[in-house]
Amino acid sequence: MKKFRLLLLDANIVIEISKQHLWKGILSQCDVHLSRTVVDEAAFYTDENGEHCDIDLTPYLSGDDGITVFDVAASEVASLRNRFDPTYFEKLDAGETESLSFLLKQSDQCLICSSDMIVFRVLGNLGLPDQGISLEEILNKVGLARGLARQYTKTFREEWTQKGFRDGLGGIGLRK
Amino acid sequence: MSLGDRLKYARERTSLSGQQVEERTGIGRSSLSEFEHGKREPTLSQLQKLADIYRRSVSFFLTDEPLPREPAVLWRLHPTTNAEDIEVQFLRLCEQYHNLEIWCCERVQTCLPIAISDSSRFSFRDAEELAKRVLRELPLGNWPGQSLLNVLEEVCGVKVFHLGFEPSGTAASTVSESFGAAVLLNARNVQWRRNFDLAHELFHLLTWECFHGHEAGAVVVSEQEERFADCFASSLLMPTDPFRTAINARLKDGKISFESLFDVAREFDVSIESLMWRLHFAYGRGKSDSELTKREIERAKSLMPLFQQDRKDEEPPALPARYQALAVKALRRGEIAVGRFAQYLNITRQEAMRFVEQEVPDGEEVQVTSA
Repeated sequence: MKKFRLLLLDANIVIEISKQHLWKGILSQCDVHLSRTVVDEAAFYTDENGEHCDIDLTPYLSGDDGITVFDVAASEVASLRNRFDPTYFEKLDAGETESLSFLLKQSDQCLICSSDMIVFRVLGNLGLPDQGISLEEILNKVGLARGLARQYTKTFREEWTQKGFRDGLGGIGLRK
Repeated sequence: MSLGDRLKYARERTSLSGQQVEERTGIGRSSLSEFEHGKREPTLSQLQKLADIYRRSVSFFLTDEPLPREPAVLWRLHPTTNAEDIEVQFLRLCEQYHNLEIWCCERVQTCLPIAISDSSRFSFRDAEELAKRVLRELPLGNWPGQSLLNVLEEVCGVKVFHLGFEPSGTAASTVSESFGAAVLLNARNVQWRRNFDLAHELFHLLTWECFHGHEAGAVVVSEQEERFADCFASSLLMPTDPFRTAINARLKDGKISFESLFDVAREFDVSIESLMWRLHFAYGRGKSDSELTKREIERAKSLMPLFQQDRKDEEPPALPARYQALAVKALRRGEIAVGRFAQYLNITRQEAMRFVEQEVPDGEEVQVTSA
């Protein structure tokens, strides 16, 4: 039984996992879903020597433990968009928009992992604080714990989810 | 307007053919046709690719509401290639700048001394008087060329962008109800040319209501209005008293050397040509002397390699400094996603993530007055 079902990752997380060569360990214990746009966005990273490294997810797409890549139709995004005023919605990038749209239409509990403040803020605003997760929490759960930069930590996620919750209370960003 | 209609509108607005769209996005012409005719829906991934080349937000396509009225853009001369694409890119940059201001709660309302006049009675004297009024009301100093860009951006809330296009002798301006006043200058021009263009476009911003009211779409500028704008720009960048002081200090027996003229042009950060026309008018030469002035300008241009070789020409910023600062602020305050930030600054996601990795000390302040 996998530790996480329906785990969505955004582009920054895909890049960090690729940099740290953690795919095998994560995929053996997590059911990972990536939006098409996230796959397009997470194209490369620069290593500690400044070398350009392309990210090729092809080896991880097949098999029982493979990543599932999904598409979201434009009309499905519209239902997320319609919850927010257009200026607020514009803050998200396309991969996050696609992932959040997918998350909202799932009946099963779905988690999204990000290092972007705005993603957790939106979850808090939507009243979905428990559907965000940090990379730190995932790695702790699957036995791959290590030191991570601030934006990948549980503390970071909680702080920005809380800010989003306060946004929601104040009606900030929501369509009137 | 449906998604399909908006896609078609956006493509036609940038004058892109189906083939060009296919080359740039990988989306086949038949698929594009199906999207535009509402027979099939694009995925978000496809929609994002189309939005990128059409220079629109994804949000633009996701509503059934009527199309918002696009602000009119006033060109001196339309660019010879990709005119529509450049125009749409300019408007998109203005929209992005506006978004950043809202997200950072730092909206600067455009505040300019607007001309209230009847366009049919507007004269060169009115253009000169308008320049004097601007010099009184804005903190430009005696050498406005040195400060005009900063003052317009930081004090008056005018959004100024630089893009590269041909011909070189053109620029654009617009006034929008949502994002305010904006100017597009040619990044390929030298600094003193851009100064003049900026002052010229400022005239259009100040007289927008007077000459163009609530026009939409392509705005046609008359030759006469362009001459007024040149007269205004000249009077603004070379204010009468400081200009005459600079010239008179270099006169010998009522004459000035070409070398000194280039020095004064550098001091006021204007071209030699505009300086010599200013000289023509400021020292009372009439129409009958125009041919003489033109010959002197040609002579001055031929001497440029001798007297202008060391003149500093700073490249314009790719994006306004304030725009970049707002983008970084928005990122640090969790007001914008990393990917969106990268798109707004035209950098890679990796470069954008370096900003996230910088830890900014929170709450550090400097005591300025006693509490």
